[in-house]
Order: sequence, then structure tokens, then C-alpha cells
Amino acid sequence: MNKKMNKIKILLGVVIFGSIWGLLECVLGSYLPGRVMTGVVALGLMTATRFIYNQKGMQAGMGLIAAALLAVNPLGGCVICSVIAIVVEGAVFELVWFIFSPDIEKAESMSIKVCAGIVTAYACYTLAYVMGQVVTPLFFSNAKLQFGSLAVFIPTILSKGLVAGLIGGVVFPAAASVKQIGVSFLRSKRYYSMGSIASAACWIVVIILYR
Amino acid sequence: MVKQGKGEAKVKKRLLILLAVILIIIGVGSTLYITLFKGAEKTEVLLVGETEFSLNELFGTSDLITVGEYQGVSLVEVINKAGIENPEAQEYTIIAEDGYQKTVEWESIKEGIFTSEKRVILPDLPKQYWLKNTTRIEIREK
Repeated sequence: MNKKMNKIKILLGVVIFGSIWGLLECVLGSYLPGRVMTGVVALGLMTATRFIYNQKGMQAGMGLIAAALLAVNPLGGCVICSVIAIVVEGAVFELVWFIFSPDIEKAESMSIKVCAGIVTAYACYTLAYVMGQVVTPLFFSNAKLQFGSLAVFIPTILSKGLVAGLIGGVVFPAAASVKQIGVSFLRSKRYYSMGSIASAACWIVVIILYR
Repeated sequence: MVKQGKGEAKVKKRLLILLAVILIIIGVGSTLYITLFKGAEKTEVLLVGETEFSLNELFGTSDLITVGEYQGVSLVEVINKAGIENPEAQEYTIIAEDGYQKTVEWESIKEGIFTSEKRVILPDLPKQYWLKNTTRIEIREK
């Protein structure tokens, strides 16, 4: 595979999995709590794609695509908070993997995979939550940001983060195990056609729901 | 990519495990703290400024209005009943029983309602401002 091909495949991967992530957030985001969405959907997709593509920065890109899809979605309650949360989740995932790479990428023991899942999901959820609370008031003139009130709520955020972390501890090893299936899909001739159709379908579903 | 030594890799793996354990301890500690100390505030009254309303009193004497799928008492009526002067010159901190709080201006309060499930609905603001289990509304001059 030449380098150019690699880049196109990776870019398409960003669009495919970012769109799937965005669609799942749109459809399930109103029904499932944020900690479950982070632990299962966000961490599951980001981990699986990291193992399949092994490309730094890809998950941050997926976060941007998912956030863009969510921005046109009317189903969620707080669109801006969700958009901020998804972008932050992508960035935090990259940060954790930057710090612990290549140990996570080459993680063979189950204990390391479970710990990586706990740390990544916990960090993604709590930091996304805090950033959502801090940044959202900037978009609304009637709303005020008070760091004191955020500090009061920190124990609740840390407590909810535990649920995300524990889910992450289960989801991470499961997502890592799909590497072989993902790599064979990546090498198949249908990758471009199926990937493009899947991405387009995600956007069409959301836009139809919008109307 | 710079290859890391075996020693460094071992340290990072141990650090990852240690970090996971620390996060679990923090999460469990926070859960215990909330359960033991913050659950005790459950109440069937709403404190607005200095005035305390029982929910029965509030919903028995007020007209209900509908905002989207929610029905409740207008926050303007609640503020008026509490005898707040110059409401447009105040800012309002809505506080839930777990300590979560949000501060908003009169423009948002004007549109808002308080439901019988003790939820504040502010249709012009995102849902993170729609506090559940609201127990207090603190009012102070801007």
C-alpha cells in the first residue's frame, strides 16, 4: 500500500467512524446517560479504530466529525454541550494515548487493557463534563459561569466518572479484540464503497430526522 | 519514533495500573461522600430568597403553564410571590439538592417554569441549566 493510499484510507476511516459515532450520539444520546455513552460508544469506537488504523490524531478527527453531525441534530437536549464533550473526548483520548503509547498499543496482558480502559474512559468523561460546563455559558448571554458552583459539583462528576471508567475497563479489551476483523475490512476491495455508503447513510438518517 | 527502553516501558505500565487504581479510589470516595453527606438535603420545599414554599402551597395556589412537554408554575410567579423587588436587576442561582447550581439572568427566568417534580425548565438555555431536584433559588443584585 503506498503512502497516498494510506492517507485516503485513514481519512475515509475518520469520516466513517466519526459519522457512526455522531449517529449513535444522536439516536442514543437522549436515552442513555453520558457516562454510558462515553464508556461504550466513544471509547469503543476510538479504541477499535486506534488498534485497526494505528494512526495518531485519527480519534481527534473522528470527534470533530461526530461533533459536526451532532450539531445538525435536533434530538439531543443540549447540542452545544454534547458537541463540546465529543470534541474534548477525542482530544483527551489522544492525550492519554500520547502519554502511555506505545504501551497501550502493544498491550498484551488483560490487566493493562483493563487499566487503559479505566483511565481513558474516566479521563474522557470527567474532562469532557468539566469543559462542557465551562465552555457552554460562553454561548449564552443569559447564563453565567461560576467556578465555585462547579467545584461544589466536582464530587458528583468524579463519582459518575467511576461508572464510565468501569465500563471502559470492560469495553477496551473487547474493542481491542476486533483488530483482526477491522484490518481485513480495511484491506478489502469494498472498503471505499461500503465506507462511503455507511458515512452517507449516517448523515442522511440524521438530516431526515431533523426534517 | 523513539524506542523506549524496557525499564521505561515497565515504569509506564506500572504507572498506568497505579493511575487506574487511584481513579477507582477517587470515584468510590466521591460516591461515598455524595451518598453520606449530600443525600441528606432531600426536601419537599423550595426556598426562594428568604421565602420558603411547600410544594403543596406552590402548586395549590398557582396556575400551571406548559413549556414543551413540561408543565409547571411560572418562575415569574414564584419570584413575585417571594416578594423580590426589581427582579430584572437580580441574578438567580438555582441550586439542586446535590449542590449542583447554575446562575442565570432574569431574561431566562421570565421564560422558565418549576415543575411538580422539582425541575426547573429554562427553554432558552441548554438542558444542563434545567436543574432536577431543585431546592433553592438564591437571588442577589447584579
